[in-house]
Amino acid sequence: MTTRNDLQHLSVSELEHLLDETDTSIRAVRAELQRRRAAEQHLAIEQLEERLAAAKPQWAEVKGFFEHVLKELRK
Amino acid sequence: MSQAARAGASPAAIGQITDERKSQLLNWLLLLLLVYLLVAAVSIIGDGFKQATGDQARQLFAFSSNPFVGLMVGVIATALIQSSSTVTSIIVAFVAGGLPVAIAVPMIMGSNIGTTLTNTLVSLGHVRDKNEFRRAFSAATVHDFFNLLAVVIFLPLEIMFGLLERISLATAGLFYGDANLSMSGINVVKTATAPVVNGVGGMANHLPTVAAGIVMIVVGIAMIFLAIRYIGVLLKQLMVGRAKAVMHNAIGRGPVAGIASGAVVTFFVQSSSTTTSLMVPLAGSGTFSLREIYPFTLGTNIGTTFTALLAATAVTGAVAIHALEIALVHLFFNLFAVTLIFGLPVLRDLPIAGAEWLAGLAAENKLFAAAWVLGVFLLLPAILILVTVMLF
Repeated sequence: MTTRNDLQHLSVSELEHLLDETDTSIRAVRAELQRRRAAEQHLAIEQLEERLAAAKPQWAEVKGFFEHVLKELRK
Repeated sequence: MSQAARAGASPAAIGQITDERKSQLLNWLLLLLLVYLLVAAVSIIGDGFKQATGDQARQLFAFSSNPFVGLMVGVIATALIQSSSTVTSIIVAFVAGGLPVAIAVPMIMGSNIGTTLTNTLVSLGHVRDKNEFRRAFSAATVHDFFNLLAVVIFLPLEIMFGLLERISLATAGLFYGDANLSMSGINVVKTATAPVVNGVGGMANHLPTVAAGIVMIVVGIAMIFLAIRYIGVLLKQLMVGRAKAVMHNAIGRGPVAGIASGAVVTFFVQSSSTTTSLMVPLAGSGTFSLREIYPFTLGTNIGTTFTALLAATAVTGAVAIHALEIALVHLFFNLFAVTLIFGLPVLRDLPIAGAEWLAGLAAENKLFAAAWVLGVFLLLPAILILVTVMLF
């Protein structure tokens, strides 16, 4: 990792070069993150049938939530 | 020769494809039958409502002539039935039976709020993990905040200027002409639905007039409920491939594509509750961010308006224009709300800010989530209706 001390020994052109490299790296990391995120979203959409079938309130879970609330209230 | 046969597929594979096609065809025919039942049910309710109320619909619904009560009736009815399509179709039928449009408009707005209960209930299932719950609850309540904000803006405009009612009447007029003119000539919908409508009417006619009207309303509501439920089930099977394609295409393409995909997918599955609930677990897991889900949610509000428009096609005669008018109110209310709130940067982020704030509180103390669910969807509307009915 480059520290402030290291930077003080670099010339202006070396600093500019370092900045360009860093910019390029950040863009590449962002693009890769975006690509992975999109891939994850596409994968989730591929399971649309199952997700549509499950897209309704599960009453046991709603009941569980209110039991959780009552437990929190009693604390 | 089929594609599979040309490609040299085995007889078993060809047989499977043929079976799938047969099953699809059967599903489409069933779908047509259910749409027919939906349309017939609207006529049955309209006729029953006329019979039960005589010309007293306005007096009967006097309690909801206060727009806030009408709004709360819409909220509670939709929260209990958990289907805004069913409630709006019933409202269209009541308008066809003589319910004044001015009384029905706040009910339509209320149904928009009531329908958001479903995805909020789905989000409660994520209670075990604090961060997952915060993300899921904010993805659900962003819909609540948007629809509440839409009502805060458009209900006063409606009370003061009758904005939506005027625009919708003018638009419906383009299709039907003057409201006082009855439609002449053969009406295909009326003729087609006559056997079912007359059949139910004939069976109820053994009862006294008012009771017969009430029986027709109940039968009609049950038919609408079942028709919309099974239309949703069939469409999910038939359109899931197209819905997938639409959603894949919208990824990474910005908010307008998100709104469009929400509208189209909801149109495909005929249930905004389903499409908004679908996104809650995806928000909980972090697959989609709140900002990505928000436009999709707004699109569902637009996609769900098709059912009421379809229901309005069932209505014939002089009231047809008003049935279409109230269905258009539903469409324009949601179109204008999305255009105004999402279009203006000053308003756009308010639902997100509200949802994040509430989800932050609820993640720390679940009592806030419970108070929101019970307060907004049941207690507050019930108290407001009760107080208004008792005082006025």
